Amino acid sequence: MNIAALVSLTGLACYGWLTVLVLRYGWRRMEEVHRLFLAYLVLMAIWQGAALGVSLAHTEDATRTWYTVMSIALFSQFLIYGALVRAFLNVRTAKWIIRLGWAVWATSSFIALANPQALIAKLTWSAQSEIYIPEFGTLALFPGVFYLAVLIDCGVLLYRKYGTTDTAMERSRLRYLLAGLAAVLIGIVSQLFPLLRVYPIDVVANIINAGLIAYAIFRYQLPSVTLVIRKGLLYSIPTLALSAGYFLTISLAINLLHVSLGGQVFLLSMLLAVGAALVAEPARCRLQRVVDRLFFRESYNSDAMLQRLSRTTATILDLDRLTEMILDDIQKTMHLSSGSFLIKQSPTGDYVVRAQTGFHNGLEDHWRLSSDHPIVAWLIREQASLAAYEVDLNPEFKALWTREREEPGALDVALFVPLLIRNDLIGILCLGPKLSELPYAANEQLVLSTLANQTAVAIENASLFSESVTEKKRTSTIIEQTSAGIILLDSNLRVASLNPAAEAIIGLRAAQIQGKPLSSVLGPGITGRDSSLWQAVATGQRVAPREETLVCNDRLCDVLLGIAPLKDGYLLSLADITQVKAADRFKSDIVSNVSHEFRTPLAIIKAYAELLIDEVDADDVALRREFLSVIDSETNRLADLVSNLLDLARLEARRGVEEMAPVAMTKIVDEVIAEARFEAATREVTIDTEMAAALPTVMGNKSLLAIMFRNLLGNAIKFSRPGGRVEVSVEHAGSSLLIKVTDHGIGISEADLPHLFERFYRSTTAQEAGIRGTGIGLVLVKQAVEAHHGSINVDSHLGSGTCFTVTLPTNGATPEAAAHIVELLPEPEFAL
Amino acid sequence: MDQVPRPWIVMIVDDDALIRRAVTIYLGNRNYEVMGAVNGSDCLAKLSPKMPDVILLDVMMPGMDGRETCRRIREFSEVPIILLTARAQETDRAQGIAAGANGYITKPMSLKEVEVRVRAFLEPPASNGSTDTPASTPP
Repeated sequence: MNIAALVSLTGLACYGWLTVLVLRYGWRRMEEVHRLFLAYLVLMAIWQGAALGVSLAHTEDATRTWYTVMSIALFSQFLIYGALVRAFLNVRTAKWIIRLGWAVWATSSFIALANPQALIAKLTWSAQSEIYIPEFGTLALFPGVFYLAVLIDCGVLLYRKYGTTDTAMERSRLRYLLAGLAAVLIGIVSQLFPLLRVYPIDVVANIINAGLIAYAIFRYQLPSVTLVIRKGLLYSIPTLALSAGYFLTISLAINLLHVSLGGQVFLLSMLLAVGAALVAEPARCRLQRVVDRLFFRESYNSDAMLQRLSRTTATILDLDRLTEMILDDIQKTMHLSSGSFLIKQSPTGDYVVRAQTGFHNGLEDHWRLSSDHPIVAWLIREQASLAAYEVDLNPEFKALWTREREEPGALDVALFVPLLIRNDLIGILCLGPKLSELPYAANEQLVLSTLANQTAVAIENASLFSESVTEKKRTSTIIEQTSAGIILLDSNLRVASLNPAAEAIIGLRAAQIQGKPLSSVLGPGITGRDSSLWQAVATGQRVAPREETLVCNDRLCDVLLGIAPLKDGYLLSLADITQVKAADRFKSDIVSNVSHEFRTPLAIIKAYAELLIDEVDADDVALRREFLSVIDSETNRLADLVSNLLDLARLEARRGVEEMAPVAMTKIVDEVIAEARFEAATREVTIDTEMAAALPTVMGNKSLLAIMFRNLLGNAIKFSRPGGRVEVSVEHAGSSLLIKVTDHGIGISEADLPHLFERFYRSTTAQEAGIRGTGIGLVLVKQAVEAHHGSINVDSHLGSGTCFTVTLPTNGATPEAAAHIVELLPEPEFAL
Repeated sequence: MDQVPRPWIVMIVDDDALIRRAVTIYLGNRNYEVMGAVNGSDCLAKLSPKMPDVILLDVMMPGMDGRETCRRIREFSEVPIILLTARAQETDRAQGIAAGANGYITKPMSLKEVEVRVRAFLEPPASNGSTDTPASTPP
């Protein structure tokens, strides 16, 4: 048994193993490349078997025979290799090349069989390696050059393809074949040097080539060749150090301790072996792990990571923090280039980036994977992680549009891990390639899916939690902001909490009454027998809001009180209706006042009509006339009342909505005075006016201003004594217009002045003087003035007359100027 | 027109002169003696020298209103008081009775009704003599 035989046996084992692997792949699934590769392996095995025969042969004839077998296998193998590379690259081969190949093969084989001497001229026994070393004959050059040409052709084809391919995966694959080819070439070249021929370099090179081809053909994702070589070198360092130590110890023992006996050497070897197993091997493992961590970044403790992250998922409820922490941990532990979490967005169902790590500029916020994306559909259907290369290979994704391809492309994803809850894909964990450039192993994918499941649960918890937090915030905002007072009671009817509106209604701060029985806060009536609260406690049903009067902070307030029983107490909702009730009372006051104001003149009309019918003699013409005039004037009063009330209703209903326009006050004054001339003449009152020539206009409503002035002037005439004088003046003061109406009549007492503008208020002096009125006129005046942002002043002395001064803001334009401005305004243009 | 046996005295308290005048004319024509007062305080002032047999009292008057006046009168006299009012609601009526009024007439009223109501207090249906006045004597 020599070294060459051992090497050949090893080679044979390798080819056998690879053959088994290829066969396990399944004949039916095999494509042309796979079948050619199988043929290649078989040929290599034959070649290796022949080599084994060579190394075991002890006669020259046997050796020569084995060499012949070996040569023919080698010729065939080159041919198949050329075909394999072409099939791999999908290169069509011209027929004449195939024919030429077969011709050369047939010729070479024929030469090898017919005239072995021509191929191998001479065999020399090498005592050192215990085999016959061949010296090639002259004819060996013919097939040698041809097959070298085949190899070079393959190399050129591969290299050219390598240059034109732009997908990283394909380039990596080609790199493998190129590396294998280089190894084969090195092996061949080594055979040219007799010095190297004794070493089985070509055998090793061919095994390497076969291994690399197998890897390139059968693995979808390949680590880069440089990495494999780098790693091989680095891994060999601890092994080399160990073996160096071993030999050093042995040689030291032999040379220094003069251990010469076989038994002693054996014992030492055993001791060293035990030492190596107990100490050196663990040390080597540790060293290798350090090397892994430092240079290849792939060693990690997945159990520790799972444990850590399951703790994280169990304790953190904030979705953003949770996803960030998980990503960070995965990235650091598994040495990933990048990672991102896509979480399903509720309305659209799209998966949107929620957390990211390892992206230099960060992903754009709007980045998303639509809910109908084929990858999403796949993840939902398969419920398993999806590697990016599968997307490239799977026919299902072949129909992906460029844009759809770009979507996960932007994420630089190597692995999509689905986050599933009850068959619902709530998110996707997108992991970038590992820094080691190794693909994700099956056990890693398992770990990641376990983690993804945990994360899915945690994310759901987090989103439920954040929903409940949002809901709580929303509820508390509603409670804080609502105008309804809300009081929460515990089951013992003690105040648990109340909102600001409730504080405002009952006039007490929450801190003052928390924990106190409600009856001590809002009076015993609230829990009395007929109260809403009693009813709610007794029936356990909610009580619709109804009016109740509470004692709030020692004053009574009218509220609408609704009660809803809660799980552990009661909710009281309060609406303060004190104002509403006051307004209600006010309104009913007005109704009764109005009815009074109507009934009084009606009563007079009825009474005098009755007197006229029954009491007055038919010939008492003067008395009849007098009574009739009473009826007439009361009828007028009723008519006035009706029109005043209508004005008032209109003013109150449309307050602030009146159309405003520049109005010349002087014009209104002139018109109203013209209307009042008859009335004034009947009462023998003269009206003097004093108006400046050019007065500014006021921004106002003409009819309101007319109502205002008509009432003022009417009052002035009414309260003047017969023969009296009413003075009207309109003047300009600063940015205001002053309208003064002065009479020299009965005047107003000081007691009446504060009530002058109240509805239906009639001054005592007027009543005593028998001057009829409606009690609405001055209310109208005041409202009209206020609608114009003006003010009204009264200056009056009992017995000597009254002066009303209305101040209206001007719009800073004289009527002429206003007219001018109107002219200057451009005509409105209408675009069609 | 029925004539009462002796001039009963009726006081009309109303801020409206026209109402006072109409009542005065109507009752005067029926042999009543009618006193007028323009408001509550005027009424109280005129009661001390001469107590009427019936008082017609307007409710809504400036200053002291009818109900207040009624309460004041009740402090010293049980003279029949009929309230005259433009307010016709139930509550107003109740408040009037609570203030001590004996009757209630809503404006606009018929003068005939006023006279009938006044006479009802002066001549109780069961009595046959004019001496039985339902009203107490003035102090």
